Amino acid sequence: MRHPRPHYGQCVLTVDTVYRILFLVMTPLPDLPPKGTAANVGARHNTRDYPGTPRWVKAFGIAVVVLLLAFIMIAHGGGRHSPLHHLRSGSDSGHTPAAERVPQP
Amino acid sequence: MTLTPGLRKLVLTVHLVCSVGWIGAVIAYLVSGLSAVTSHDPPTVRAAWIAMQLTGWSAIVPLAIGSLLTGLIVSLGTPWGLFRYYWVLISFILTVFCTVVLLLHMPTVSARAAVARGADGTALFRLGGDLFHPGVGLLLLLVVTVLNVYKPRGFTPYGWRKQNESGASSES
Repeated sequence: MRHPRPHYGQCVLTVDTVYRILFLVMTPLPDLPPKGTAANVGARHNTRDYPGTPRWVKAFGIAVVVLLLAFIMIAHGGGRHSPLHHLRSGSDSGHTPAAERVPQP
Repeated sequence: MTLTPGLRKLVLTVHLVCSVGWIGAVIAYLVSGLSAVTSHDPPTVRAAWIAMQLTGWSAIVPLAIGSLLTGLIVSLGTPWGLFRYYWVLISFILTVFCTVVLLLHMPTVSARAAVARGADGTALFRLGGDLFHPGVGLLLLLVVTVLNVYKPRGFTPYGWRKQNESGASSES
Protein backbone atom coordinates (compact mmCIF):
# COMPACT_ATOMS: atom_id res chain seq x y z
CA MET A 1 0.00 0.00 0.00
CA ARG A 2 1.41 3.35 -0.97
CA HIS A 3 1.23 6.30 1.44
CA PRO A 4 0.47 9.67 -0.07
CA ARG A 5 3.57 11.93 0.03
CA PRO A 6 3.03 15.19 1.87
CA HIS A 7 3.37 18.44 0.00
CA TYR A 8 6.08 20.89 0.98
CA GLY A 9 4.99 23.02 3.90
CA GLN A 10 2.51 20.48 5.08
CA CYS A 11 2.99 19.42 8.68
CA VAL A 12 2.59 15.71 9.33
CA LEU A 13 2.22 14.92 13.02
CA THR A 14 1.74 11.23 13.52
CA VAL A 15 1.35 9.43 16.83
CA ASP A 16 4.81 7.98 16.34
CA THR A 17 6.34 11.46 16.04
CA VAL A 18 4.54 12.61 19.19
CA TYR A 19 5.92 9.62 21.08
CA ARG A 20 9.42 10.39 19.85
CA ILE A 21 9.17 14.04 20.98
CA LEU A 22 7.77 13.04 24.36
CA PHE A 23 10.58 10.49 24.77
CA LEU A 24 13.22 13.12 24.05
CA VAL A 25 11.66 15.67 26.41
CA MET A 26 11.07 13.26 29.24
CA THR A 27 14.50 11.61 29.15
CA PRO A 28 16.55 13.14 31.99
CA LEU A 29 19.85 14.71 30.98
CA PRO A 30 22.94 13.22 32.61
CA ASP A 31 23.53 15.13 35.80
CA LEU A 32 27.32 15.52 35.58
CA PRO A 33 29.18 17.96 37.80
CA PRO A 34 31.19 20.76 36.18
CA LYS A 35 34.21 19.86 34.10
CA GLY A 36 37.43 19.26 35.95
CA THR A 37 35.94 18.35 39.29
CA ALA A 38 36.95 15.09 40.86
CA ALA A 39 33.45 13.68 40.57
CA ASN A 40 33.38 14.51 36.87
CA VAL A 41 36.69 12.85 36.13
CA GLY A 42 35.72 9.93 38.33
CA ALA A 43 32.51 9.51 36.37
CA ARG A 44 34.44 9.45 33.13
CA HIS A 45 37.08 6.99 34.25
CA ASN A 46 34.79 5.13 36.61
CA THR A 47 37.49 5.40 39.32
CA ARG A 48 38.59 7.84 41.99
CA ASP A 49 42.29 7.27 41.58
CA TYR A 50 44.50 10.30 41.16
CA PRO A 51 44.66 10.99 37.40
CA GLY A 52 48.32 12.01 37.53
CA THR A 53 50.21 15.26 37.17
CA PRO A 54 48.83 17.44 34.37
CA ARG A 55 50.93 17.74 31.22
CA TRP A 56 51.36 21.50 31.57
CA VAL A 57 52.87 21.04 35.05
CA LYS A 58 55.39 18.53 33.66
CA ALA A 59 56.31 20.90 30.81
CA PHE A 60 56.63 23.77 33.29
CA GLY A 61 58.87 21.67 35.55
CA ILE A 62 61.12 20.69 32.63
CA ALA A 63 61.43 24.36 31.59
CA VAL A 64 62.35 25.36 35.17
CA VAL A 65 64.99 22.60 35.42
CA VAL A 66 66.52 23.61 32.06
CA LEU A 67 66.65 27.29 33.06
CA LEU A 68 68.16 26.43 36.45
CA LEU A 69 70.84 24.30 34.82
CA ALA A 70 71.63 27.10 32.37
CA PHE A 71 71.85 29.55 35.25
CA ILE A 72 74.15 27.26 37.26
CA MET A 73 76.39 26.74 34.22
CA ILE A 74 76.65 30.48 33.66
CA ALA A 75 77.30 31.17 37.35
CA HIS A 76 80.05 28.52 37.57
CA GLY A 77 81.44 29.04 34.12
CA GLY A 78 83.01 32.40 34.70
CA GLY A 79 79.84 34.35 35.20
CA ARG A 80 79.94 37.03 37.86
CA HIS A 81 76.49 36.50 39.26
CA SER A 82 75.42 34.02 41.91
CA PRO A 83 73.03 34.18 44.87
CA LEU A 84 76.05 34.17 47.20
CA HIS A 85 76.88 37.66 46.02
CA HIS A 86 73.84 38.93 47.88
CA LEU A 87 75.07 37.51 51.16
CA ARG A 88 78.37 39.36 50.95
CA SER A 89 78.85 43.06 51.40
CA GLY A 90 76.89 45.11 48.96
CA SER A 91 79.83 46.97 47.52
CA ASP A 92 80.65 44.64 44.65
CA SER A 93 77.94 42.23 43.80
CA GLY A 94 75.67 41.07 41.13
CA HIS A 95 75.95 43.86 38.62
CA THR A 96 77.31 43.98 35.18
CA PRO A 97 79.76 46.82 34.90
CA ALA A 98 79.04 49.37 32.26
CA ALA A 99 80.92 49.18 29.02
CA GLU A 100 83.72 51.62 28.52
CA ARG A 101 81.95 54.92 28.56
CA VAL A 102 83.64 58.22 28.35
CA PRO A 103 82.10 60.68 30.77
CA GLN A 104 81.02 63.85 29.13
CA PRO A 105 82.61 67.02 30.43
CA MET B 1 38.35 29.54 57.51
CA THR B 2 36.24 30.86 54.66
CA LEU B 3 35.98 34.56 53.91
CA THR B 4 32.61 36.21 53.52
CA PRO B 5 31.87 37.30 49.92
CA GLY B 6 32.32 40.99 50.76
CA LEU B 7 35.63 40.45 52.54
CA ARG B 8 36.82 38.12 49.80
CA LYS B 9 36.20 40.80 47.16
CA LEU B 10 37.99 43.40 49.26
CA VAL B 11 41.08 41.23 49.77
CA LEU B 12 41.03 40.17 46.11
CA THR B 13 40.93 43.84 45.04
CA VAL B 14 43.92 44.67 47.26
CA HIS B 15 45.72 41.58 45.93
CA LEU B 16 45.15 42.61 42.31
CA VAL B 17 46.26 46.20 42.97
CA CYS B 18 49.44 45.01 44.75
CA SER B 19 50.28 42.43 42.08
CA VAL B 20 49.72 44.67 39.07
CA GLY B 21 51.43 47.56 40.89
CA TRP B 22 54.40 45.28 41.57
CA ILE B 23 54.75 44.59 37.83
CA GLY B 24 54.49 48.31 37.03
CA ALA B 25 57.10 49.22 39.65
CA VAL B 26 59.49 46.59 38.29
CA ILE B 27 59.09 48.05 34.80
CA ALA B 28 59.91 51.52 36.19
CA TYR B 29 62.95 50.02 37.95
CA LEU B 30 64.02 48.32 34.73
CA VAL B 31 63.86 51.63 32.87
CA SER B 32 66.12 53.22 35.49
CA GLY B 33 68.52 50.27 35.31
CA LEU B 34 68.63 50.59 31.53
CA SER B 35 69.40 54.31 31.84
CA ALA B 36 72.25 53.55 34.25
CA VAL B 37 73.75 51.14 31.70
CA THR B 38 73.31 53.15 28.54
CA SER B 39 73.63 56.78 29.57
CA HIS B 40 76.84 58.74 29.06
CA ASP B 41 75.71 61.55 31.32
CA PRO B 42 77.00 61.30 34.94
CA PRO B 43 74.02 63.07 36.55
CA THR B 44 71.67 60.72 34.70
CA VAL B 45 73.53 57.61 35.92
CA ARG B 46 73.56 58.99 39.48
CA ALA B 47 69.86 59.83 39.32
CA ALA B 48 69.09 56.39 37.88
CA TRP B 49 70.73 54.61 40.83
CA ILE B 50 68.97 56.84 43.35
CA ALA B 51 65.68 56.22 41.53
CA MET B 52 66.30 52.46 41.62
CA GLN B 53 66.87 52.59 45.36
CA LEU B 54 63.75 54.67 45.95
CA THR B 55 61.57 52.62 43.62
CA GLY B 56 62.83 49.40 45.16
CA TRP B 57 62.32 50.23 48.83
CA SER B 58 59.27 52.50 48.50
CA ALA B 59 57.26 50.68 45.85
CA ILE B 60 58.52 47.22 44.90
CA VAL B 61 59.17 45.83 48.40
CA PRO B 62 55.82 46.95 49.95
CA LEU B 63 53.88 45.82 46.88
CA ALA B 64 55.64 42.44 46.85
CA ILE B 65 54.92 41.82 50.53
CA GLY B 66 51.35 43.04 50.08
CA SER B 67 50.83 40.78 47.09
CA LEU B 68 52.23 37.77 48.95
CA LEU B 69 50.15 38.33 52.09
CA THR B 70 46.87 39.08 50.30
CA GLY B 71 47.47 36.12 48.00
CA LEU B 72 47.83 33.89 51.04
CA ILE B 73 44.61 35.25 52.55
CA VAL B 74 42.65 34.88 49.30
CA SER B 75 43.82 31.33 48.72
CA LEU B 76 43.41 30.09 52.29
CA GLY B 77 40.09 31.92 52.74
CA THR B 78 38.40 30.44 49.68
CA PRO B 79 37.78 26.93 48.36
CA TRP B 80 40.77 27.33 46.04
CA GLY B 81 43.15 26.60 48.93
CA LEU B 82 46.91 26.97 48.78
CA PHE B 83 47.96 23.39 48.00
CA ARG B 84 44.93 22.04 46.12
CA TYR B 85 45.59 23.28 42.59
CA TYR B 86 48.89 23.29 40.77
CA TRP B 87 48.40 26.82 39.42
CA VAL B 88 47.89 28.23 42.92
CA LEU B 89 50.86 26.33 44.34
CA ILE B 90 53.22 27.32 41.50
CA SER B 91 52.09 30.96 41.75
CA PHE B 92 52.78 30.91 45.48
CA ILE B 93 56.26 29.36 45.05
CA LEU B 94 57.22 31.88 42.35
CA THR B 95 55.93 34.81 44.42
CA VAL B 96 57.88 33.67 47.49
CA PHE B 97 61.00 33.19 45.34
CA CYS B 98 60.68 36.69 43.83
CA THR B 99 60.10 38.28 47.23
CA VAL B 100 63.08 36.54 48.86
CA VAL B 101 65.44 37.45 45.99
CA LEU B 102 64.13 41.01 46.09
CA LEU B 103 64.77 41.35 49.83
CA LEU B 104 68.27 39.88 49.41
CA HIS B 105 69.03 42.13 46.45
CA MET B 106 67.82 45.49 47.74
CA PRO B 107 70.69 46.10 50.23
CA THR B 108 73.06 45.75 47.27
CA VAL B 109 71.09 48.37 45.38
CA SER B 110 71.25 50.69 48.40
CA ALA B 111 75.03 50.26 48.62
CA ARG B 112 75.37 51.01 44.91
CA ALA B 113 73.16 54.07 45.21
CA ALA B 114 75.28 55.31 48.11
CA VAL B 115 78.39 54.94 45.95
CA ALA B 116 76.65 56.70 43.06
CA ARG B 117 75.79 59.67 45.29
CA GLY B 118 79.46 60.37 45.97
CA ALA B 119 81.16 59.00 42.86
CA ASP B 120 82.04 60.93 39.79
CA GLY B 121 83.29 60.15 36.31
CA THR B 122 84.81 56.72 35.82
CA ALA B 123 83.85 55.42 39.27
CA LEU B 124 80.24 56.26 38.52
CA PHE B 125 80.22 54.49 35.18
CA ARG B 126 81.94 51.47 36.72
CA LEU B 127 78.76 50.88 38.72
CA GLY B 128 77.01 49.69 35.59
CA GLY B 129 73.30 48.99 35.71
CA ASP B 130 70.88 46.45 37.05
CA LEU B 131 69.04 44.53 34.37
CA PHE B 132 69.34 40.86 35.32
CA HIS B 133 67.27 40.89 38.52
CA PRO B 134 64.41 43.07 37.31
CA GLY B 135 64.39 41.28 33.96
CA VAL B 136 64.06 37.80 35.45
CA GLY B 137 61.67 39.12 38.11
CA LEU B 138 59.42 40.66 35.48
CA LEU B 139 59.40 37.42 33.50
CA LEU B 140 58.40 35.40 36.58
CA LEU B 141 55.69 37.90 37.54
CA LEU B 142 54.24 37.67 34.04
CA VAL B 143 54.21 33.87 34.34
CA VAL B 144 52.32 34.20 37.64
CA THR B 145 49.87 36.62 35.99
CA VAL B 146 49.19 34.19 33.14
CA LEU B 147 48.65 31.33 35.63
CA ASN B 148 46.22 33.47 37.65
CA VAL B 149 44.22 34.55 34.61
CA TYR B 150 44.01 31.19 32.81
CA LYS B 151 43.87 29.00 35.94
CA PRO B 152 44.92 25.79 34.13
CA ARG B 153 43.17 22.78 35.57
CA GLY B 154 44.91 20.13 37.59
CA PHE B 155 44.64 18.98 41.18
CA THR B 156 47.62 18.23 43.36
CA PRO B 157 47.43 14.79 45.04
CA TYR B 158 46.42 16.60 48.24
CA GLY B 159 43.72 18.58 46.42
CA TRP B 160 42.43 15.42 44.76
CA ARG B 161 42.15 13.67 48.12
CA LYS B 162 40.39 16.66 49.68
CA GLN B 163 38.01 16.90 46.72
CA ASN B 164 37.10 13.23 47.04
CA GLU B 165 36.61 13.58 50.80
CA SER B 166 34.28 16.53 50.34
CA GLY B 167 32.44 14.69 47.57
CA ALA B 168 32.03 11.62 49.76
CA SER B 169 30.83 13.68 52.74
CA SER B 170 28.29 15.52 50.58
CA GLU B 171 26.98 12.23 49.17
CA SER B 172 26.50 10.68 52.62
